[in-house]
Amino acid sequence: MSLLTVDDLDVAIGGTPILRSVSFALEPGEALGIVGESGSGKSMTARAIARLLPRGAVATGKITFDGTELLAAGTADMRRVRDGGISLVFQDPRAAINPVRSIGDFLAEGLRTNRKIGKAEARRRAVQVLEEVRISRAEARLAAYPHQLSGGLLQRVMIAAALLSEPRLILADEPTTALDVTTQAEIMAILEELRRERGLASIFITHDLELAAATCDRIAVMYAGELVEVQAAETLLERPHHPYTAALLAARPGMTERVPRLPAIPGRPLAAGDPIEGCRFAPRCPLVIDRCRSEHPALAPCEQSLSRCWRAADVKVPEAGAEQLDHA
Amino acid sequence: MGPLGKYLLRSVIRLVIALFVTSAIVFGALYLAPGDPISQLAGGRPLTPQQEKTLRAEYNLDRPLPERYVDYLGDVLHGNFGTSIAFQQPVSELIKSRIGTTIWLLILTSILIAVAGVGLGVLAARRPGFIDDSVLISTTIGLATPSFVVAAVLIAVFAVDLGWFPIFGSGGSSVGSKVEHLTLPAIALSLASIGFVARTGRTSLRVEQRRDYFNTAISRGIPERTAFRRHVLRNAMIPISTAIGLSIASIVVGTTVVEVAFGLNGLGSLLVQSVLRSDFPTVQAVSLILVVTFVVVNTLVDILYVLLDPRVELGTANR
Amino acid sequence: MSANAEALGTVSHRRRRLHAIRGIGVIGNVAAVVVVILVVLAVIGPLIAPHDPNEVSFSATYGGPTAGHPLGFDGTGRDLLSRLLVGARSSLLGPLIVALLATLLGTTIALAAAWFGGRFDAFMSMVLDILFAIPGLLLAILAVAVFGRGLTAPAIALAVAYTPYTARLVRSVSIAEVSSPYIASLLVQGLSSLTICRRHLFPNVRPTVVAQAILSFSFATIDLAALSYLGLGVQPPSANWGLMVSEGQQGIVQGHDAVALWAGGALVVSVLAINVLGSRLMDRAEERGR
Repeated sequence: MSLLTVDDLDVAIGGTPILRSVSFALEPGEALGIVGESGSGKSMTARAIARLLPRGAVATGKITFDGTELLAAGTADMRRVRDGGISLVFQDPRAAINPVRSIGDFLAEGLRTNRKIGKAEARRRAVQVLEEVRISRAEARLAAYPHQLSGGLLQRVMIAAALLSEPRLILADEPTTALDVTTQAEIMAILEELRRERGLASIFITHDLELAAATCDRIAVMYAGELVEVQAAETLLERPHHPYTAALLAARPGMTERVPRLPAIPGRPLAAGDPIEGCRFAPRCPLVIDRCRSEHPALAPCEQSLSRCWRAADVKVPEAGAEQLDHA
Repeated sequence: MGPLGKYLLRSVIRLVIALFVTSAIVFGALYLAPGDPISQLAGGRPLTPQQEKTLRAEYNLDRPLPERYVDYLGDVLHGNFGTSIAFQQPVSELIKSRIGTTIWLLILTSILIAVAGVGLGVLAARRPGFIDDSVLISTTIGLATPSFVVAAVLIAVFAVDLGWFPIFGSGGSSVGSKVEHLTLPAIALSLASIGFVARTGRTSLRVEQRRDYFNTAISRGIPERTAFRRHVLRNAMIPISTAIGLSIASIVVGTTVVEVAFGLNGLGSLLVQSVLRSDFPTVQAVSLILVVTFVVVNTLVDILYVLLDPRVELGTANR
Repeated sequence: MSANAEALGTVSHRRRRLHAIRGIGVIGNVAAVVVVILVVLAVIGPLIAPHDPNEVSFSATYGGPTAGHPLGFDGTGRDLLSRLLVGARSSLLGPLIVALLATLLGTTIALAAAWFGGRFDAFMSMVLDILFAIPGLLLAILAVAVFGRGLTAPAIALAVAYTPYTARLVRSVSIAEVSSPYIASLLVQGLSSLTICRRHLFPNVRPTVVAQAILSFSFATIDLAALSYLGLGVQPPSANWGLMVSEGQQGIVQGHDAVALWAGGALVVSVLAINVLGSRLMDRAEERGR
């Protein structure tokens, strides 16, 4: 049985759709990367799973984690899922960790309040988990406050805190975006190692398709509030089946360097709320045909991939740094 | 010395400077008055040559002003505030007999400000809509209502109409009697400050409620109430306690009005009586005590702020 | 819109018709209208009072409303409405003068400190810091002790006590302005410091100054009324709202609360309107600054 299934998830804020019929499943121990531009709905998907939707957002559909239906779960069930089921790693650790409480307090909070674990034992476990994320002088760091630590160190504290509840799924929402490039690599390496050691399932939300492909088993690409392609990471890079994925790959500056932001694809990205009849990528698509403008495609199998495209089979292998995209 | 020690030292130095200046103003007021300081001290009462001689000696009026100021400070530090001409007794004894009521009033008022102010702030922040609007409107009115008007209304309703509380007086020495007599005065004195604290609380709680770390706590399965207390309330307590401290500083002088309104025999009403009776030594002494309390509370607020917020860079803190 | 029109509400001399103040909402505009009405009443109150405020009818002590006396009588049998109208002058114009004085002093100090900067700024900041240590009401009471009862001495004392609040705020806004490029370009054009401060710097900090002046007005209204309530300000038999609450309080004990409630109510409505207008204008000034 899948660890997590998202089935026909819709999210709307004030009547404006943000997510449209998102469905996927995650097996225990599997690493899924969700890739998309800002506004594509990738973070909203994570927030829906964690039930941390902004005020006024309405989610419909079904999210099942380990047998619990999350959108319908009561407070007690939800707390059980959050403590030991799903742990979150947020984008900006400096915003996600309370600045007026010490690192030790932050780490021990879950153990002390949820599991009634004593002070000394909580402290021992906190030190242990800090060492696990390779933080030196762990004992001394417990007394430190967030502003005394670097961003990279703080993100490791965040990961350590996520591990303390011994979760089965880690949900990391752009965990490296707020960090500099060298630190990004360290954080990804740590996440990767822990995941394999502990056999954790993970969902990694990012706008960096290559980074996702390098660290995840499977990639889901989102565009304008929808999943447009889902495929195994190793084949996706070679054989994308959605023009948007292809464009993302083509927009790579080259194989040797990596840019922190997505280079532009011609045209304005559609917002999830924009009403449109056909394919949502049609206005920017190089392969567009008449049918794309009138009929909305479903996510359908095409070779080894799931793609939301009428011409999925025609999508070409992109060339890195292709000239067609330079003018944007 | 650590950064905290340095900050404390700087606060204390500023406190000392403020005390010197304010005491110099209170001291110098005697010599600002039109006419002879002797007649100011006597409040226009005719003096016998003997009385005048005593006063002249007591206030060292033949010596230069700076020397007199130093003497004055020395006297004050020894608890010697001179002799009240109007009350015919040492000012220090007058103060001793009056200060208890004022301290009681200040304590009761401070408790009211902290409890009601924080309570209303939390209520408004947690319950948007009708409750929030009601708190907002009532605190706006509270902030605009002078304490003596509140006093008049409270006396009319609770003392005269309902008869729940005594109309005048400070009560006996027992705690029960003090509370009975000082409840209405404390409400009158605290109302505007409750409004101020509640509004500060509402604003800062709302800001803190939207912080990511509150979401982090929720995402870790911390119960909502616990997360609110540990992350929202705790962080908002930094601006809230500053507001409470500033309010307490401001009610120190507000005691004058409320003590007169309720006929309490405290320091505030003593100040007003001594002004009305042209009893300058008493005016000076009470003013000095009130202003020192005000300055000291303000300094404590500064220090408290630093203790509550680990982010403040102590080495360079200068607000 | 001129600063005065902004401060006093709704009259534009250029267009010669009423219009709303933008950016302060309906409530802010209502408050502005109330403030204008109150200030007008304070000026013409004695002229429209139906009776002599000191005319006593002994038989009418605490008398209720009658024809010609719509609010009834006070404890000495004087017409309550007339006393409220006459009392508006000392209750509102006194505080208004305090606010104007504090604003003038505070703004001048702030602009000079921001303009000259350096040691002068540091020195002025220190002086203001020390002035903060003296509560306004206490300084006013001391002034009465030294110079005798009445409004003049405490009004000046309050203005001095409020000055640091205005100065600190205006200084912080002005310093941001002084460092902006347009000031440098004016200097290059050879304009004198005074001209730049008066014609360019001040107009840019004016919204803050006006808002703070109105807030000072509301604080002064409470503080000066308190002084008269304590018997240290306006002296009987003159009419003043603070004094009337004090006189009315004796009536309350005997079950006659009309005098205290009317005078207290007049104070609350005034302070409320002034305060709301001031806070709305301050919010607007802060938004503009961003």
